[in-house]
Parts: sequence; C-alpha cells; structure tokens
Amino acid sequence: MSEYKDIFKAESEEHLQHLNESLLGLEQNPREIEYINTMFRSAHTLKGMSATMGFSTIAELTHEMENLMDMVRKCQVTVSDSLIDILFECLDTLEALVESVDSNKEVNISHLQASLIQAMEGTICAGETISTIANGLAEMVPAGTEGSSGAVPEAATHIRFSDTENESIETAHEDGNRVVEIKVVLDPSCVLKSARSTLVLINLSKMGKIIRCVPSEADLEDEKFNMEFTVILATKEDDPSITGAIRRISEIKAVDISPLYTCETDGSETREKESVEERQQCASAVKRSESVKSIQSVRVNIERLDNLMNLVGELIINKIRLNQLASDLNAKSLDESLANLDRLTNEIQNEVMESRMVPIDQVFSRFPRMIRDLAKHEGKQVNLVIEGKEIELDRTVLDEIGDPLVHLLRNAVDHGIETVEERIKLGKPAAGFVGLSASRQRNSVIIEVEDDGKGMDPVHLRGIAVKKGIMNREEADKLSDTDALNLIFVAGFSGAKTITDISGRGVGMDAVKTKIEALGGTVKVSSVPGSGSSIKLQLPLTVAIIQSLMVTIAGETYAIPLANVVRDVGIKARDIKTIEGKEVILLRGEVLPLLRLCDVLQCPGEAEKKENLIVVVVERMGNSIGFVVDQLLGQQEVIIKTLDNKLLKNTRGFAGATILGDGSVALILDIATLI
Amino acid sequence: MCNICTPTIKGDTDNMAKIMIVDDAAFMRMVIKDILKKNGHEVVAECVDGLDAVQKYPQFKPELVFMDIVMPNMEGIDALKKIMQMDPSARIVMCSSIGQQSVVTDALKSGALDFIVKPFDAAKVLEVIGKVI
Repeated sequence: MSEYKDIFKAESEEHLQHLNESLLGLEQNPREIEYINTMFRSAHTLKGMSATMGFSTIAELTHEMENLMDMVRKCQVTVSDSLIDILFECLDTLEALVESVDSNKEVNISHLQASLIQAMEGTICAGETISTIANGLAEMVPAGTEGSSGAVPEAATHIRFSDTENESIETAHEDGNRVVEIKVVLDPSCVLKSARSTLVLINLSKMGKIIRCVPSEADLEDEKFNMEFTVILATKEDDPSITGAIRRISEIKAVDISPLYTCETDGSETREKESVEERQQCASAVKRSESVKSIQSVRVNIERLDNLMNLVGELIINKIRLNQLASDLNAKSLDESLANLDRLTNEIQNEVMESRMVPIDQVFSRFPRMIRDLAKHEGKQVNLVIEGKEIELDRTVLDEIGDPLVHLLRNAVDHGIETVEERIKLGKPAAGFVGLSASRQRNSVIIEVEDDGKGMDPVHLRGIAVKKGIMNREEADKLSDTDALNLIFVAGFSGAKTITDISGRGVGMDAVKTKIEALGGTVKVSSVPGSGSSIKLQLPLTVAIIQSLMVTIAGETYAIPLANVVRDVGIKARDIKTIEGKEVILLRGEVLPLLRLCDVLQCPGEAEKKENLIVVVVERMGNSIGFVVDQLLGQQEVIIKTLDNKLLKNTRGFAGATILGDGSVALILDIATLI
Repeated sequence: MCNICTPTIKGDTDNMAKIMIVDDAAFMRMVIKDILKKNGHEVVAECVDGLDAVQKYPQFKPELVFMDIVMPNMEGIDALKKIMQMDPSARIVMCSSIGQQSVVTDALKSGALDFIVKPFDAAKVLEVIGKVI
C-alpha cells in the first residue's frame, strides 16, 4: 500500500507543479488555450488517481477544478483575477491535502467548493454530485433502480411505431428477419450508464438492425433513463446468441428477449461484416509508424539512493583499508587488482553521485508563484527572471537550499524592489527585476539572487549596527564597505526599518549564512545603493564526500575540509605575539589569529611546549585563522557520516565523522563554528 | 477503504492475455499492472500517452489495450482511432473517469470494446477482460 502512496504522492506533486506553472502562465496570458488544457488534464489525472486511492477530498476538489477548467475551455467562463485567486487557493489546499495523505488529517474544502461553484456561475453540469465519486460505486446508484419512475417511458410493451418504423419492420420481415423486443437491465453499480447503453446498442447493431429504442437513442446518450431500456431489433440471430452477445458486456444485470414478429427465411449479410470491411480499407491506407520509444527513466525512492551512497562510502573505506594493508604487507602481487578496484570504486562513486543529481528547477519552480503572491501582497510589480534551472545538484544540497533562497528572494522583493510610484519617480521601469540564476563552476554551483531595487547603503548599515549595539561607532567606522555589507549576516541584525510579516525578522540572513556554510558553501553580497543588490551562493555539488587534510592533534586524527585550507606553515613559538589576550602571528605582513586546537577541543594531557609549530591556515568568508596542529598526515577523500543523532546534534566544532583506512574514526572539523 | 486493495480474484490461468497499458499517470499504470499481474496476465507494454501507444501497438501486438482518455500529446480517443485504423481487430478497453460519457460513447462507436470507470477495482478489470477476450 505504501508503495502506491509513494508514487501517488510523487506524481501528484508533479501535477501540482504543472498546475501551478500553468496557472501562473494563465494569469499573464488568460487566452492561452495550452495552459487551460494542461490544467484540465492535470486536474483530471489527479482526480482519477486520488479516487483510486480513496482520497475523497482530493477527488472532490479536483473534480470541481476540472469542471471549471472545462468551462473555461469552452469559453463559458472567462478567466478573471478572482478566478485565478480561487484556483491558486485550490492548489494550496491540494498541496496540503497531498502532503497530509499519511496523517488522514481532515481538511475542510467546502468554502473552496462554494467559490468554485460560484465561479462557474451556477452553470455546473447537472447530474454529477462530486461528493459521490470516491465514496465508492454503490452510492452512484440512483434511488429506485427497480421499477421505472414517471417521466421517462420504460415499458416497451406499449410502443407505438411510426409509419417509417412500421415500414422497417415489414421490410425486415420480408428480408427474412425476426423482429425482437429486447429489454436490457443495467447493473446497479454501473456508473456511465449512457456509455454502457451505447455499447449494448453497438453490439446489437452488429447482429441486425435497430428499429427503435425506448427511451430514444438521444435520451440514452443523455442518461435520461433509469437502469433499463428496450431495443426493437430486426435480426437473423436466435435468442441465445443475442443474450450471449449482450451478456458479454459487463455491468448488465438482465436481458429479456421476446419476439415481436418471427420469420424463418434466410437473408443477406450483417452489419458487422460491412464495418469490418470499411475498417480494413482504412487500415491499408495508414502508414505504420516505426520508431518506438523505450523506457528512459525509472523512479527510485530517495532512501534507496541514500542507502546506495552509504554503501559506496563503506566500499571506499574498505578499499582504503585494503590499500593500506597491501602496503603494510608489501604485497606487490595485489597491486594490479587493487588498482582496478580503485578505478571501479571511483566509477561507482561517480555514477551514484550522478544519479543523486536533480535539476535545480525542482526548487526554482516554486518561486514564480511565491514572487507573484509577494508582489501582489505588497502592491509592487516584479518580473522574476530565472536562469540555469537545468543545472544539477545533489539532492541533499538541493533539499537544504530551498529555505535560504526563499529568504533571499523575499528580501529582494520586500526590501529591495521599490513601490511602483517610487520607481517611476526614480526613472526606473515600473516593474522591478529580480533575477535568480544558477551556473556551474567546476565542482561547485553558483546561485545568484539579484534585484534592481534600492540596494544597501554601507553608511546606513553601519548606523544600524551601532544602534543595535553590535559594535561601537569607532569600530563601525573602521569597517570597509564590503565588511559593512557583511553586517547583514550578523545575528540580530535586520536592515528593515519596519518589520513586515514577510521578512525582516532579523533571523533571515543569519540563518541563510549558517545553512549555506553548513553545506560547505559560501555567501557573498554586493550592492550598489540605488541600483540593486546581488547575493551569490557558492555550493558544493555534493556533501557526502569531501577532500580533507588529515592532521593529528594530541594523538588523535582529525580531518579539515580542504576547501577551507589556504596553506600550512611552520612557525617558531617565539614569533607568537599576544594582542588583547589572543595569540597571533605576523604572516606575510598580515596578522593571523592562532587557535590551538588542543585547547579548543579540550584534548586530554599536557600540551607540549614545542619550539617548532605547524599551523594550518584556514579561511572562511574572508576571515583567516591558523590552527596549531601536531602533525600533518596528508590529503584524503573522506566520507562524511553526520552526527545527527540526539546526543551529538548540538556538538559544535565538528561537521561529522569519518572512518579511516585502518578502521579508526576521525572527526571532521567544522570550520564555520570554530572561527 | 481503498479500491485497489482487492485481493487476488481466482483467475483462469489458461486465459492469460498479453496486455498493453496506456496512461499518462505512472500511478494508474501501476494500479492496473498490479491487478493484471496478480491475476496471471502479462503486461507487454506500458505507454505514457496516445502517441506512445500508437507507436508501440504494432511492435508489441497486444491482445488487449487499456486506454486512458485524457492524456497529453495524443488523447486516448485519437489513439484508439489510429490503432483501429492500423488493426481493425484491435481490442481496446477505455479507462474513463466520471464525467466523460460523451467521449466514452464516441470511443465505443469508434471501435472500443468496453470501458472501465475510475476508480476501478480488480473485480471490474478482470470481469471486462473475461468478457472481451
């Protein structure tokens, strides 16, 4: 069952995305039929899927949406702003419903249904009450299936034939046919009665000539009948074969045949043969298409990919161990197969990494809607331009960057873009520009959020920092313009003059920076007052495996992410100076703060007083610091095992742990929290 | 209770049919496929839209086609007509939702043998197979 649920959810989300995109398109372009069609199709598919799963609320809502889109398609309803708003609300509700299918949470959709029906201006098609769709077929049965009700004549016994019909009966008789009255009763569970009756008529017409239907064929097609109808048929077939032919149709409860006229002579060909001949003629004219598409992708559960990644990690660890053992044993005969193993594991690793890559569009695609809502809410006009949505990222990274990007985009609209009046006064185009772009640079992906709004003024930012007590005036004045811009990343700093409900809670940029750095990425901000800001995120392609510099501190091995390492230097203890109680060293004319890792990490044992010290210089967001370590072991690829259980989650200073070639565990230093 | 959790209906294994499923929703394909497989039928091809179905039909020559109606690229009704042109003896069963009477009627007139209505259960699907094959 859960298997169904997973695929149901995944596919529903895709359809919701289509709906969202099309609705956004429709808002811009209310006459574009392709958007309307796509929405109709997606709503329809969702309806079928949810009804099959028994999710009646989703089925009901999508049914109404489908009806509405159908009416839009037929130009019975015009696309208005309020209609778009209602539909957006529907999509939000659907999203919540799909999200909560596990929890069986009740969501009330009656007000939405009311709005939808109102939008359809009371012209909703009669005869279909949506509440019944998913509740099972039994409820589809109209009351009183047995025994006909007044308006529609059901009993054929009193049929009065017209002159033409009488003539047909006579001709049939002369041609050697018998004329029979066939009463067909449909099964109470039958849903599409009209289609079912059509099928009966089609099958009967293959066996002879239909002279008359009661109710009429048109009424049958319009479902203007209860569960039974009567057909007068001129045929050469005997009763059992007619009964058999109708019985072969599903959802037939009873067939009753009684003769109207009988005849014994033989006659000509049946309709069936004619129709088959016609079709064959057509078939010869059709060219067969020869290209065949094969299945190009399969859906895999994320968990499987995670497991695979983990297994590859273990495999690499074992490979490293094996390499180490081979070199310990000096076993030359193993060299070739080890080299092969090396190559193969690398290939597997690359393949697995590739399979975990998903287009960044999966995150980007929800932003047009968000920006639209935001702009509308603030009375601003915003053009969101998205570029590079085909760029791929590891899904672990992708999962994490959604919220930071939301913050950045909200800030751009909320704080960046001016109101329409202001923009016109400033000679800018009325609609503000917000750009969201992704591009690949070697082993990282750059995501940039830019706007052409009012930008950030370093002078103003310095002022805020002083006012909020983050630093005194003197310190603030010393900051370079770039550093002043970086103030926005300081916890407790909010640039907004007034706090709105959208952004400016003073946690945003701080949280963005922490999140991106936790992923091993960096954030850079630039801004020109009056003409806009840009924030650049640099993200690693994957977070599961990193290149590290292995060091020992107090006998323990640690890994420092190589991305942060600038260089290592040897220094003399006597060169260390103390500024404000902190150890620093002058390196190439710059003051470098020193951090004795054995102190920070509270390594047991007395630190040796050595004259020659090894310092690893690491850099983070333009800040450099030197770590004093005991020994450098070399560079190595390590698999990150996160410390995400309850006990270790709040440990600061470590990004995770890894297993080394000899089976021992090494901690990975988290530079962001150490600096 | 969900409609797809129907237990295996005791099937006639001699009547194993080669079946092609056409539906743009992978979910629906999976539902039908599971019902068919559990009851000894063979799903020879799955198509994602009408176009796909028209291309795959001559290649797989299925004994029976389950054809969804609302699909991108080519709707079920058009695919039905194309396949019927190629092979007048094609056996096609339409998979419809509530509210598509007219399309289903049209499909039946164009040669579809029968139809099932979503949400369908195993019993209905098997009944239809039993009737048309």
